[in-house]
Amino acid sequence: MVANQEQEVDTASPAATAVDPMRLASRWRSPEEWNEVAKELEAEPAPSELNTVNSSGLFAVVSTDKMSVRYLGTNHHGHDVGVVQADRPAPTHRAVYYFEMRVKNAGEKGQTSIGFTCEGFKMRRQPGWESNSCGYHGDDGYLYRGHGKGESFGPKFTSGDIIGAGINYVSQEFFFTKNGSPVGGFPKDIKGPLYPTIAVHSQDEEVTVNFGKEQFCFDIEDYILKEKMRQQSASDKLYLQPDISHWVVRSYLLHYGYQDTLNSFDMASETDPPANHQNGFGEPPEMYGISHRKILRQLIMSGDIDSTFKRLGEWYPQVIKDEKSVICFLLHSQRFIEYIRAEECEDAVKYARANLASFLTHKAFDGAHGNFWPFRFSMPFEIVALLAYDKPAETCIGYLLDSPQREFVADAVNATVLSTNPNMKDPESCLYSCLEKLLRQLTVCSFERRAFNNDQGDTFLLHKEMQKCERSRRS
Amino acid sequence: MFLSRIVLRDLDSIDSPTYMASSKKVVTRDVWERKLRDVKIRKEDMNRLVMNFLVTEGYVDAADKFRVESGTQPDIDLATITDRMEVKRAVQSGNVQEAIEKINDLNPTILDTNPQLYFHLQQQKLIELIRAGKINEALEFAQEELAPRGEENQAFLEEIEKTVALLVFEDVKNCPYGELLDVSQRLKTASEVNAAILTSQSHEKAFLRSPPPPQLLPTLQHSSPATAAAPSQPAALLPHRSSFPSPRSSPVAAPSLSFAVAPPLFFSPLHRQLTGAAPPFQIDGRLSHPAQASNAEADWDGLWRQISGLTDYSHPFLFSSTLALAESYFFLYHHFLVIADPKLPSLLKMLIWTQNQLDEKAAYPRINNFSTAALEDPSI
Repeated sequence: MVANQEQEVDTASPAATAVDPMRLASRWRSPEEWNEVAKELEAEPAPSELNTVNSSGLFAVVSTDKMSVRYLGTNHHGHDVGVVQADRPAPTHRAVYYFEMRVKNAGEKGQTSIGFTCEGFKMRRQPGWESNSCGYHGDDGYLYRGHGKGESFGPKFTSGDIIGAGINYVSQEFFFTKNGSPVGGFPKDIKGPLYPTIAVHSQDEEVTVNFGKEQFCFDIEDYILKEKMRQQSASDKLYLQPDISHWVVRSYLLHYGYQDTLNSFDMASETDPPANHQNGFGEPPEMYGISHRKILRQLIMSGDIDSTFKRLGEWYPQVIKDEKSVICFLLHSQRFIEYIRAEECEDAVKYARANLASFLTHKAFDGAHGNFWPFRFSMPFEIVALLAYDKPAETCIGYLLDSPQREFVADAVNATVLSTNPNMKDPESCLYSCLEKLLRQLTVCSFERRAFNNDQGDTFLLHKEMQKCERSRRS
Repeated sequence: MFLSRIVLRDLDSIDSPTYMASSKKVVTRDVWERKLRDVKIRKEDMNRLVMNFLVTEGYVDAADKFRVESGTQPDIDLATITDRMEVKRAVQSGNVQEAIEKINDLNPTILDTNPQLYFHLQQQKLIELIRAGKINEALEFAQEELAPRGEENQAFLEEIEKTVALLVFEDVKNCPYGELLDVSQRLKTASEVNAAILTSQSHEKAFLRSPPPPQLLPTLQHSSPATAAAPSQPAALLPHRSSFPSPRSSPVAAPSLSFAVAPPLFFSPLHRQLTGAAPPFQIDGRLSHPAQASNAEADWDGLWRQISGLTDYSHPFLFSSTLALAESYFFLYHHFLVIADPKLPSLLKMLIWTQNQLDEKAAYPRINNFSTAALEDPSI
């Protein structure tokens, strides 16, 4: 609990309940770093070419670009299919996976097929003829789902046709398309990694595969959008407490001290505030010190750290009382950064000697909490390293000179000031606004839900949602 | 390190997972809080979400202040929002005349390029005069304002004739054509109108979303809350209406006439539902404040209630003109007012939905009270 204001933000102690501004992590506030993070969050290997290692090399030959396969010789029975899998299984961290095959030559009997198979599939059988596989066959237009006997499914296909196969993780279905039109779908009853599979089985048959490098014949984007819309319309029908969005936005503004916006917001919604109380929302604790926090933020965002120190000393001396606290470190390092920005290197060095040197040896910054924020322990060194560069803005630590860094410090000061509120019961509330807590819960719940769904499907990621906003705005 | 891997690791590393009697996996608070902390959310994205809310809900000044205080760029040019809010206010308070004037101020070409829209708005005015019993004024208005339009356009002429014919009946409610149309039939027709509106859409403005793909249309009629209760049988409506005698005022012709000549609508409530994930809206005359106006819950019934205050839906012609008026309202509303739907309510609903889904598989700390966002321990 943040009761003892004396030992405010003592990161050396294991008091995990104290407000830890470093959790407002700065590194990925810079666009480049964030892109890395975002890529990692979403990275999942996907099929890119045909697998030449395990294909039934006896019966078919894969082209040198690994995107086509051609049958060799003539077929004689049911165990000489030239079947090829993709190099990797279909990725599952998305709503739908899809790929297409074009029949270059239907050969003598047009026994080409497309489908999905598991690892260890018998590489001389058509997809769908063995268990744990499914296939749509061109000679009869039948669907085979793991038995020798198939069922009537769709049209036959032959030379020139483009057949697509997909997995819909949301509805848990396989689906096939022909020349851009859907053929049909059926429930997905195969578990485990599924390899996109194509096969040829008679003289001269040849097919080419497309894993997405070229545009698909079928409008898959539309299909995915449709699926997502279905999901969204299901959730949109749910009842949401009236005015809750308004409340959440208001509490966000209060939390970060955006006072001007808040005042304008309140004025424009003059009929609403009474409703808030009626709904039992209560008086928000974030009202504490809002005008001070607003001014502090303005000072930091304009780079005036000296005034920030002065004001903090006047209004919340307990925040900067402990010279070794994280918040003091952040403020001092920002002052240092401001010197660098202004290209006053001599002053920067003087300042660093006076105020930053102690942090470089402080054990709190040696990686004690470095589990998920490994950069934390290197932060003092990185900041000081700015001195080494002639043009620091153009280096990999250049992000420190940008305004997101200032914003990080502003948010840290904001959180620390909030923590001085004697009525503040929950340290988490100093760090995270109500909105942020809700978004975090949504993210975790959506990942957990996917985990229960055999790790299949899409999840909620705020930056992706906001990107969608951006895209539709531009279009 | 990444969230997904952490999740899987948790699943694996729990030696003897605690299961409830109904075999739901239990996630303790500590484990859950660790997961929450590992989520990476950018302040920038949260700012954008808030800005999106301010802009789409019409808090123009607040959006501007937020731009300055947080450095976030608004989704759309703030200057245009105020103008739109003015038109919106006029439309929603039923003040058609004012709406027309404001539209003309804003964008004179819109009424010029949509003569049908303008005509229907004029026609509505005439109907109001007739209903109010102001016969002389009505005739004068018809002669001066509407008749010239009728000369330009055969379809308009027919409509004018029908409107003027209302003057013949002393008691419009009990005229021979007036078989009262009950709510469910109105709703059915409404869905029919909506479908027709959707098929007539073809344009896209820069800031508006694209029309729904045609494949989605069959699902629409059933997904509209208005038709959720009433089985969607638009065909059933036609025989009933075809029992009206006069071929010229054939009821089958009447509604189709009104939206055959209707301007291509850029949006419709169901379209909005599709693209913006918001339920169909309701024009509520009570909402005069710009901030509140755009967030109205949608409801066809409410629309009829308001419009029926303006016109009489018992008469088939009046009914069809009501449909035309509805279209006009929708057109004005969407063209001028809908910029986008706020994302935030949709995300909050997604949270409710996701938690409900997860409840089937696990017992975990839930957030039940969104105003405090407090975690409640899993009940065992």
